[in-house]
Amino acid sequence: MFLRSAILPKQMLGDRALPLVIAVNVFLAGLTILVAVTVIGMVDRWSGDVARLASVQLPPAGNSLGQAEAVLALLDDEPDIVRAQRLDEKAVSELLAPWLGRGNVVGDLPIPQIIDIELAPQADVAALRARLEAAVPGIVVDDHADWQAKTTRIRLLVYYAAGSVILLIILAGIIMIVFTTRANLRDHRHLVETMHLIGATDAFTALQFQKHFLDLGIRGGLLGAVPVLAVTYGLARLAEYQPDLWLPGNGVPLTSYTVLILPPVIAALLTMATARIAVLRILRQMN
Amino acid sequence: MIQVENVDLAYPGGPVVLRGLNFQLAAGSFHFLTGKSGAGKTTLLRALYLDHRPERGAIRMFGEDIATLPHEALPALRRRIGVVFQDFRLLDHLTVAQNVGLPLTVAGIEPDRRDKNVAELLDWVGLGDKSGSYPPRLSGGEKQQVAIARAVIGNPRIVLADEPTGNVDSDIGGRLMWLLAQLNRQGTTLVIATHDQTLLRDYAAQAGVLHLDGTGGVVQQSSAPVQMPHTGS
Ligand SMILES: Nc1ncnc2c1ncn2[C@@H]1O[C@H](COP(=O)(O)OP(=O)(O)O)[C@@H](O)[C@H]1O
Ligand SMILES: [Mg+2]
Repeated sequence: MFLRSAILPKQMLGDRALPLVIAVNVFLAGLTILVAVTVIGMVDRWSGDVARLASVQLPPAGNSLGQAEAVLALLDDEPDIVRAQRLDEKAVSELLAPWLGRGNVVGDLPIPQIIDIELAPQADVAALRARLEAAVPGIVVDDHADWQAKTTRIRLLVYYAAGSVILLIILAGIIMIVFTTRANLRDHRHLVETMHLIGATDAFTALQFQKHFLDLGIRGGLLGAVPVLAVTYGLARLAEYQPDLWLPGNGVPLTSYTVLILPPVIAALLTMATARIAVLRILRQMN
Repeated sequence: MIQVENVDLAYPGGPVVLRGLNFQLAAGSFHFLTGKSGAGKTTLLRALYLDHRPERGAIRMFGEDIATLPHEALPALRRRIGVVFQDFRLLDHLTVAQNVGLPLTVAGIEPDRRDKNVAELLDWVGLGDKSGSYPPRLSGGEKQQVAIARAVIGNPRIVLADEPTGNVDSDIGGRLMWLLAQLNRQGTTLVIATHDQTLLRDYAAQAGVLHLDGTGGVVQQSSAPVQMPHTGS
């Protein structure tokens, strides 16, 4: 309201409808961003954890505790490895249970020895693998590279999906804003012409409409941003009780959500720019 | 002050309304623009207040050929020309005072100075008590007074009025004409479109005539001596 022009009528077409439509668009865009940031944040954290974990599998042929101890000693000397721990038979059976079933493991079925390792942050996995393979023929180093590739794909997928949804929302918003602004200017053609004829510059006339539409845009933006903030806050509170769910605050720092400022700001600026362009286009047709 | 050379005027997609216009109006002169309805009076005035450009020819005002000036250069020039439009062009959502002050508002004059000028001018035209009214509540004569006040508030060197007495009773018309003639006595170049024969007779001593013959528009011009501007009231 503080932005209202003193020259334009107090009530103009779209004064109510436009902020509402903008608010709905900002709300939808905000929710989309909220979901995208949460999913990407969780995937990032998860792949960050997974990236540091790997496992070493000893060939069943050389299946003996002695060999495992030797390999463990070797791993302890590796600077790239922070921690190494052999899984006992029970743990390995647990791991295999989904494939073999519980309690079905026959005693003489060769069960691989598995050693979990935690890699140093800048570990060179390829070099480590080469060294271990040279030292222990048949050894398998599994560094979850597949997983990494998968999470990268998930990230991209989320980016593209969220991006497309937001583009559609922006497109719908632009159409609505352009439509309302044009209708509004048709209503006020007499005003625009009169200002033009008494010596207003195009910039001055455009500014009057820009202010008005920026005002509408800000109102719509705020109206849409409030429920988005409420939802974000509510989910973050829920995260305190449901630490396992993918929720803001559960591993995704709340600062990641500052990007939620963008939809209302973009909506307000877009509204203002649309009005400016529409007014200047009309004025350009005049002498 | 105003030099029109070989000017053709037309509307987009329409025939040429006025052809081969040639005339000059001296600074400080006073002319009636006459011709029957449809002869092209409004069309010529619109060209003079830069609403549209000639198809051909040159119009010189303030030392510029306004036919070829770029779009961006026109607002500054328009502010030096006061116009009383045939249909007033008042803004119904603004008060009388806001309407009269509009040319100063768009020119970026400080509100205090603007409001002082507006008050003075409204007293001059005799509408001091209507400054807070809105145009739809005004009579035709009052609207015309507001339009005249708005036309002159920026101290224009040229005032163009399109049938300013067309819709009002003759006693009010006389008052409006007196206001406009007073501007001319203070040195403003004045062109008034009219087909009111009484006006022509009443002001025959002071005003020249530009006549549009209605057949494509040869201008016949007669001039009255340019008045020496009085100063003071
Ligand atoms: N906006 C317009 N578009 C096309 N033709 C117009 C327009 N305005 C006026 N005319 C035509 O131009 C001619 C002159 O009109 P106008 O200048 O309004 O005459 P006057 O003011 O002397 O009555 C008329 O034939 C009229 O029909
Ligand atoms: Mg006319």
